[in-house]
Formats: sequence, C-alpha cells, structure tokens
Amino acid sequence: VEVSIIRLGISNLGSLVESFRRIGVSCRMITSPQDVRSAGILVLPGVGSFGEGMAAIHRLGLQTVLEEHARGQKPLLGICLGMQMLLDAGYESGFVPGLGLVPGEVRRLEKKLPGQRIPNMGWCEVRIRNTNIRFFPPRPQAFYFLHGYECRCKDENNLLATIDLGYPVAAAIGKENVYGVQFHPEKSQDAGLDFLERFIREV
Amino acid sequence: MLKKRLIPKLQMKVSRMRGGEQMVLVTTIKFDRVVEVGDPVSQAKIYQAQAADELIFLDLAPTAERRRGVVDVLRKASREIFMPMTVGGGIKTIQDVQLMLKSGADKVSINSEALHRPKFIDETAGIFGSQCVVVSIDYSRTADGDARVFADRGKRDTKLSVVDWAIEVEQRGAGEILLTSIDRDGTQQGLDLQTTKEVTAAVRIPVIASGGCGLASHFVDAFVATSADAVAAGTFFCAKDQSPMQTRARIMNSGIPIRLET
Repeated sequence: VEVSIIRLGISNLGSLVESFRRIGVSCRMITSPQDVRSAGILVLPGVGSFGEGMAAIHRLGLQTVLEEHARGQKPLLGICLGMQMLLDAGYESGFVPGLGLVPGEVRRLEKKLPGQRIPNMGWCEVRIRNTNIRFFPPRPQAFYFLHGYECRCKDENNLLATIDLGYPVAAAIGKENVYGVQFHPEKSQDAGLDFLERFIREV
Repeated sequence: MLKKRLIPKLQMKVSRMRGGEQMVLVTTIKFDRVVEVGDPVSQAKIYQAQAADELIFLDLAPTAERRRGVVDVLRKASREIFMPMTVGGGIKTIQDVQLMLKSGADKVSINSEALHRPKFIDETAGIFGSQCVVVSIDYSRTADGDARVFADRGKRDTKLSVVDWAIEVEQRGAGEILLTSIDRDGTQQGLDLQTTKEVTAAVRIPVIASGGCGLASHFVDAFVATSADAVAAGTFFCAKDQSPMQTRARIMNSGIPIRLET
C-alpha cells in the first residue's frame, strides 16, 4: 500500500509522514494533477483558513483531478481543513465554494456549553454513529482537535462520528470512498496511529 | 467534552557552553535567571512518553540570524512527536510564521510584536486561521496592584491592563492566549489564580495559565478555581522529573564538563 499526501503549501507534513511510516505504510508527497491521477489512497491534510486552502487547490489545479479521484472509487481522506474542503462551501473567509464531494457546509462552531471555548482546541472523546465504519476501536477514544469551524453534512448518513460540544459536532464524515476527520490523527499519539492503521486496513 | 490540557513548556536558548547554533532547554526564574537543563528534543520525547497533551517551544533569545536553531528543533521534533506543538519567541513577520509552520509547528505564539503592532494578529489569523495563532501575554503586578502587560521578555511595561489586552487580542483573531505571570515564573509557589480568573472570564478563546507551578496541586487549583483550559509549566516538569538528563545538565551548569547528549 502506498499513500499519497497532497502538499498544499503552508503546513508541515513531517508528523503525518512519520505516522504512516510507524504503521508500516510508505507514502509520498505530491502537488501536481498528474500525481493525483496516479494516486491510490489519497490524503488531503490542511492547516489554515478555508479560503487560503481552496485558493491553494485552485493554484495547483487540483479541483478536477480530486473530483475524478472521488468518482473513480479510490479512497480519499481529508484531515481537519482537508475534511472541511470536501464540502460544498465554507464561510470562514466569506463564502468560498469547496470541493463539493460531500454535501454540506462549513460553519463556525456554536457556543452551547457554558465553558466552551472557540476555537475548540484539545482532546475530545469521539462517539461513533455508524458502527459499520470500522476506523475506530469499540471503546471510546480521545483525539486532538484544533478547529473553529465545523462540517454540517446535509445528509445525516454522511456523519460517521461526533464529539459532544453541547451538541453533536462532526468528528468524522464519509460518503462512499470519500472520508474526512476533523481531528488530527498525526497529533493524537497512539489513538491517532491506531486510527490510521485501521483506516488503511479498511479502505 | 473537551479535556483540560497539561502542557510542558520547553524554553530554549542557544547554548553558552557549546558555542554553536545548538538550542538547549532552560528554565527561568522571574524571567531573569536562566538555568540550562538539557536537550529540547530528547525532553520532548520524554514528555511524549509521559503523555503530555501538547508542547510549547519558546526561543528565549531569538535573533533573525539564529533561526536555524529553533527550526532544527522543530524539524527533529515533528518526526518524533505525535502531538501538537506551539512555537514562540521573536515571531515578527508572516515569513517567520510560515517558516515555523513549515518546520513542524502547529501553532505560533506571538508576543512583543503583537504589542508593538497589533495588526500583526489580524494578518496572521487571516492567512493561517485563528486556530494557529496563540498570543502570549506576560504580565506583572505593579506596586499599585494592577496586572500590567510587559513586552520584550518582561523588560518593557506597556501600561496595558491584562484584561483589556486579552479582549483586544481575541477581537483581532487570536485563537488562544498563553498567560504568564512574570512574578510567579519559576518560583514554584503556585499560579496567579486571581488574574487567570479575570482573563478567562473576559474572553471566549482558550486560555493557558502559566508561571509558578511547583506542586501537582497547583494544576488542580487552576482548573478548580478558574476556567483555564490548560496549564503550562516549564520548571515544574523539568525539575520534578529526576531524569539523568537533568542531573547531568545541573552538573554541566556548575561548569563541570560532562556529556549532555545521550
């Protein structure tokens, strides 16, 4: 198995690359449309604002090839901003269209719990909604989150796992072969490595 | 529900001993005395083994030419550490932020430059997103009892009230505040709960309380008495961990030549 990680520019992918190496999966970093075309399992990480992230995708000319990848039934995993960009649109930098691979929008987190801080920053326990998805172990685990915006899926069935911030917030989404996680597996210590291992095995 | 975080703070400086670019881990007392205690990446790995929640790396004596030291630490750490890393110290430009994120930081902590040019917060948040902008606020209680913000590693009294500045940095797009009491720094006498309480009540972004932890109960106090989201400590985590690294570093700091690397 080889994983291709899209490098959008600003973020360091050292931890992510090393995470895959630790679980015995080789990976390469890619930036060009040709590389996306030849990719098997594709990972779209992302740090930064929604607008900057989408601008990088357009600059690299990746929108069309990402759509093709998704249509071709090949696995795609978006991480954090990479997950958010899978949706139809985001509002972090004003209205910006997303990749449109999973129906829904990215909206600012709501403050429903008295002590809730925004951005949501830290370790949260993830609740599995769809037990057919076996990326998570049966016991609940905490993962590291760092986000001020959340994915609101149009279709409830695309919501695979949530965290509880006084209301359910998407932690993992999926539509056919396209998946996204709001948390950072590469920053979630053993739980994160375990997730990546299961993901690679299951897809 | 979000969990409270324990954050070892790895303060670093270019070593006096080695005469090179190498960063060493240090602790400080009231921002003044500096004690060399070890190697930042090795210590970071120990903290990872001890399941720290995230790490803060602070370059205490940054200079534009000496960026290589901290970049080096981040690059090495990002290959070994699977937890979030914040880096601060001398971050003044968008290029600085970019370099730090590229080298492996997940968040950058800005301090004096934000006081000097508050728009820098807006600019950084606009480009990289609020979630990666930590504004570090160092403060001290003046003779009249006000908690005032100090710039330039505690050297310059800005006359700003801590609470006012905290509110402003939130409005400008900071995603988190690292709040450090200069008076308590390294004293191990406990956190300044009063100011922590005031600041956490005034803003909606996460606040990391720091400065003064000497007992495990000091962490508990902060979480019980204030709504701090995290506690960061440098001296505490370094001094309580009686590892050979610290012992060796202590010997070395007494001027006795000894191997510091393991």
